[in-house]
Amino acid sequence: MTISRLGKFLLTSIVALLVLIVPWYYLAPWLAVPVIAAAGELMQLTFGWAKGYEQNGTIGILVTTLHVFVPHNASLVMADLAPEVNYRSYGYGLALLWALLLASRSEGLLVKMALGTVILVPSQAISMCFRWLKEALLTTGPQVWAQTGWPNWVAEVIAYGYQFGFLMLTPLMPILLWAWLDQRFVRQVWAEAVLAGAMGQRSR
Amino acid sequence: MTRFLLIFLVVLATLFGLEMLNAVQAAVITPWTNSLAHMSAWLMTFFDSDVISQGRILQSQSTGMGVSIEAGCNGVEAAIILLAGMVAFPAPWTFKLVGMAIGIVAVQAANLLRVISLYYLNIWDKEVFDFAHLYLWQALIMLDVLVVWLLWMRSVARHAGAALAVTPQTATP
Repeated sequence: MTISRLGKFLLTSIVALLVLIVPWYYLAPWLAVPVIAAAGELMQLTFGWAKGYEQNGTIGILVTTLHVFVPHNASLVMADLAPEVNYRSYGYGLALLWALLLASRSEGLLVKMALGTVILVPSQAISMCFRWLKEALLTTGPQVWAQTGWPNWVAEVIAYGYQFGFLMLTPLMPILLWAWLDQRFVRQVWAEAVLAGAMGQRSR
Repeated sequence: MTRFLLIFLVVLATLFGLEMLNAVQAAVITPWTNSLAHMSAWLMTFFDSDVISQGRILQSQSTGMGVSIEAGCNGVEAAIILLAGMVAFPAPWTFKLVGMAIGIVAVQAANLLRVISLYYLNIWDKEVFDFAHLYLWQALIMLDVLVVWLLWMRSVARHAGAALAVTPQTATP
């Protein structure tokens, strides 16, 4: 029955999420490695002022040549800007993807979980890049922005990209990826409901 | 699938862009967020008379501890994703409009639960609050959106099946 299929799916996915988000949390320092590396490389490739990146646990640190003045012993000293971003803020969708694949009893579950883990890396990395850009250029004041030489409208693009990445892309990508990896489940729900509708109409 | 994805992404990006506009934030999002805090406080007074709401803040009168409902926590983005999913899916517009109305209520009901639970988690343990706020509830709300969309899609399919029984034709998602 369709109801039990969706009901089971909902219950299993909630339980699976509650269970899987714990190992995901503790595995995050390792899961963060490819994401921070991809984001760091992309930043270096795209922006001349991004000169490197480091990882400290789940935190990705972008090393830049942008200068910022910071208070030190009652005076201001110049320092290189190094914005930090936590991978976990962009990686929690992985636990959701694993839970959905488990709940829909996907065929080839382990392969799809591994595949999904890899496929999610680019979207996580792009969202992370926009967060770095926001932290480096939008929250540090006009002195830092002036060093880029960019027109002001770029700030709007960064703001939109950051919000879209954080609020939309990060939670949505696991859902879209699940729907793509397990199309069979959605088709089954559709086919069973069409059949139920047709049977209901005939029995009237 | 490709057509669905294209329409979905265009509607999603457009609605999200509209949401980001200062005018929309001032006229719709901020009042909605304030009313969400007010609704949460009203519901909580049934079992906790210590809670008050001020603007978007939900606060304990005795300790002063509380939570502020920020962007991403007001359920608007989740509702936008649901609306985009319903607009993009091939279904009669009456189904879409009814689905949107019920869907928004369902998403916001789950979001009320999120706000209320986070208020108490924040009082209880900051570390658990951060975990639930930043990761767990984000995923649970998306799960809610997916299940509401699947339930709606099922009702569209049943309607298509009933029509099929009357006048045989092909029906695919």
